[in-house]
Amino acid sequence: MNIFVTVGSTRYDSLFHAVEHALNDSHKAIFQIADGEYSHSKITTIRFVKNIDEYYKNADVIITHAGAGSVYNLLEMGKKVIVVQNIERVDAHQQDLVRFVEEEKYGLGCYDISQIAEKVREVEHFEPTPYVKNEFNKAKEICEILKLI
Amino acid sequence: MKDKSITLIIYGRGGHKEQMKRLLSMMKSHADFDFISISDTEDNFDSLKHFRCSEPRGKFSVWKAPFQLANNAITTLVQCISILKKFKAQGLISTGPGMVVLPALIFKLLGKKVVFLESWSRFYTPSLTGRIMYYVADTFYIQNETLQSIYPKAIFAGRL
Repeated sequence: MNIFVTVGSTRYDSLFHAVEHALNDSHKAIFQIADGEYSHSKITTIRFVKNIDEYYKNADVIITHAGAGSVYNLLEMGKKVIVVQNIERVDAHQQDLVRFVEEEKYGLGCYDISQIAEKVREVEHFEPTPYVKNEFNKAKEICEILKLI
Repeated sequence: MKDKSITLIIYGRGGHKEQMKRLLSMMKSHADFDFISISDTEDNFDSLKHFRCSEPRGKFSVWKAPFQLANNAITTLVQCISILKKFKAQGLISTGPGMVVLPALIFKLLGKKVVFLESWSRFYTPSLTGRIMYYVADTFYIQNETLQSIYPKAIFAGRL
């Protein structure tokens, strides 16, 4: 199983340590670590990439921080995800998105990195609900309000 | 070239930027317009002029917060005044976070339009910036219907 771990633009080193311990021989992992300090002799780490979609495509499962930019892009691509709240941050706003993904069964939610190993086992047999959204429909109205039309 | 009014766009790094990227591409299918940007990232979506500001609130330390906020407030205030002097700015649109508050207040006081989108990552709790912008913005949009009970007067826009 190819696993890609991404933290978007915000470092979250403890997540990588947790995932590292959850891996076994059947896993192949790449970690996108942003400006973090994590390193490992056997795991490929990358910082920021322009073509992150390519990494998404090549992975069977993506473990992502609960940043909405990353999560929505992944759900729109129909990827299998484990969405992890970043508990290193002082604000807890990512909790909303973890709860949403979990409740709608779009992916697996993870509020605590101590659950990572369990989630990695669970995800192999997990069948996500396809992501559907109410498409944004106010672009024209915004142009009118700002007198651009 | 006809005299077009200029819009100020304000967005933070990460998800805020991603929302602005999507919003701009949708707006461009309806209107041809020029804009100026304020952000704590370098990415400017080809704006006429980009102003880089500091991060309004640190993600990791509570102690630095008051200083970061003050620094950000002064920077955005100066940038906003400079924009108003040089350009014919008519309106402001933002996907958050906090660096929008002072420019929005100034625009509002000058009778210019202010549009704010509450973050798409909010479902059950409001953001601090959202709670303030709910009273400042002329039009306040939410992207998740579950927020309607928290922001009764907000308009549900669908998700970017």
